Amino acid sequence: MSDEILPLRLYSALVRDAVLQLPENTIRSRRILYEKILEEWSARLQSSLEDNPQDMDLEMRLLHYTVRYTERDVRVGVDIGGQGYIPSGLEAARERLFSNREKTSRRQVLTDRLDAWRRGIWDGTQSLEAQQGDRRSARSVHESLLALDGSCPPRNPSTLPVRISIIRALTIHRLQSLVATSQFAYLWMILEIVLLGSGLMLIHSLLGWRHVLNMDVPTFAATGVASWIMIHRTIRDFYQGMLNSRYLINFPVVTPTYSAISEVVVSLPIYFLAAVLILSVGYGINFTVLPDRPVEVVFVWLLLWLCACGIGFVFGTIMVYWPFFRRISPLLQRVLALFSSLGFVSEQLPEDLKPFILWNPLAHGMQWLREEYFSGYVSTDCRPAYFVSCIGVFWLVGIGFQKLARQRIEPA
Amino acid sequence: MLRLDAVTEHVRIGEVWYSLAEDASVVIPPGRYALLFTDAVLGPHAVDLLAGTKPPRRGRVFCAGNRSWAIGRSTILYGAASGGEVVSLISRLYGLDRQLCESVITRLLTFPGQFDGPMSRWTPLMRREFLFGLGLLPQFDVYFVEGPPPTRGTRFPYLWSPLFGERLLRRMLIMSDLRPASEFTKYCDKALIFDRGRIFIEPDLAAALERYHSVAQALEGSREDQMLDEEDADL
Repeated sequence: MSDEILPLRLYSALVRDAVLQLPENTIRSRRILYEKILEEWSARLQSSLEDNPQDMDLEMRLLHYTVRYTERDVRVGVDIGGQGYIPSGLEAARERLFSNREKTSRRQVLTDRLDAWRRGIWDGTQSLEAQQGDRRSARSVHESLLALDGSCPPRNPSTLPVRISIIRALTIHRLQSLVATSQFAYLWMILEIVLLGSGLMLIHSLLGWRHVLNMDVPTFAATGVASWIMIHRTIRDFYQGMLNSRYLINFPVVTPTYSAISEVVVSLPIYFLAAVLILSVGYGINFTVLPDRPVEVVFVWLLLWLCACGIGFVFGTIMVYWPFFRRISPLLQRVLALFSSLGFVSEQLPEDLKPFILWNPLAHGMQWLREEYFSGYVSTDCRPAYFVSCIGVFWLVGIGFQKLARQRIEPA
Repeated sequence: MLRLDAVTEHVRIGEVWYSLAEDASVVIPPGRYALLFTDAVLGPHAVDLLAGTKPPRRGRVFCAGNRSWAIGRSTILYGAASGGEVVSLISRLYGLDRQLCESVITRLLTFPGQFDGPMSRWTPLMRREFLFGLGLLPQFDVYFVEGPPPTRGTRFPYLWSPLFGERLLRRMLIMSDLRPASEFTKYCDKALIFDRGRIFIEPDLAAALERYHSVAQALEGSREDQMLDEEDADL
């Protein structure tokens, strides 16, 4: 006989004996008897199971069921005098009560946990009991925040290392957003330029030229086209970085110039790799030749890139004041391309046409690039000093007007 | 402390020019301010002006110490980057430890499962919690808060509110765009008022709310507010 059965038999025997001892067995007398039993036992249970309301509730219900089922058996005429009598249906009722109690307590545990999690007392890693009363989750977040404050001294955003770290942060962010759009985005940007560039450089070969002033024509075209695509797109990238992606300016440490610089830094390797790819694949199929002074070529290439950034800076500043300039700038870039020694060098032209080309600093840069690339070609018209000082002028104008332009750029 | 020196600033919204400041010079001592306006649309522009993200046309806004971005402004979540990428941007911008930042944010969020997914697919609740969680990471001297911090329903406010309260100790706070306007009294004790080009401090917040409350009321029960309520009801 298990412990759970005990109250069942006890209550059954209690009620049965009381009923059997009644002097006159009428409905009225039984009802009075039942009320007396329930009253007496509820007082008794309340005093003994005071600190366990769940068990007390269960016992009371069991007693009520016993009374109800015994009365039903008496009315139906079942013999209640037998040994070990248990009213019919009481077993099932008891099962129900026990399983309900189990369900309730299980639900209570879940509710407690959810509540503790919501209030930040419990972080779900241990059992709730182990953490009871301990605001562990909130405290651990607080500790991490304190550690965070300890790990970083406050910085002055106007010092150079901090400026560089801000640009670096933006550059990495842009790269991540680029890769987030597609895994192949970066690769495709390189391939796109390679395809475009190879198409353009074939035009020269189709014209049937063999040599331009000691320069191999396919290589001549490749250097021109690859660096022109770089210049054209860097100008665009710079002013777009300045004027678009204004969500970054919501951070007080970020200025439009930082945003633009990060944009062109992200795309610089794209153009460089595309140019290397065009020239090396051309060399592989015996179409182009390798540079004679590679280090100098890379140096002049970077100067061309800086010049393009400077032009983009000036264009961006103009666009802040006059937004319609966005429509005009592609035309201006075409003009720059036409007079930039892209498809020919100034030495090929008659003397009186040269001034139409040589005002353009990009023409000087391009001819300087070719001079370094081909040892057989010496450019008589190229003046590197003019080119470099133009880069300086563009950047100075950009930086000078940037403070004024900043007042017209709103964060988005 | 913030100081405005002869600041003049006009804002164009749609085809209408609003005057935000008209040769305004004001010193704002440290404290907790509610931003109130005669034209409620000026909210973000005033925050931009004070936070230094939009320099004024004329004059100068000077700030002692570093300023936060507008905490709670949803436009900083742009594009398809994941939560980790935004956290790493912020940690690099302010020179913080990236992994600590990430662990703080993920432990605060009610549904950290979305953290690694693209932002474009986050639920509105996740976006709000993330935006306000980010505001805890760097330490600032002047805090700008735009929009109501999450207060109901989930576990986030239980964790966030005490932490943010601690961040604000002996710091300056400027709050904007709270609705209902009575929320201001929870966080602020003074009002900073932009009244048709004049900027001034009203020490009696209750009186200021009374006077400028028609504007604050106009925003109450707006569509966005209803959406927030529905969102809370879903939980």
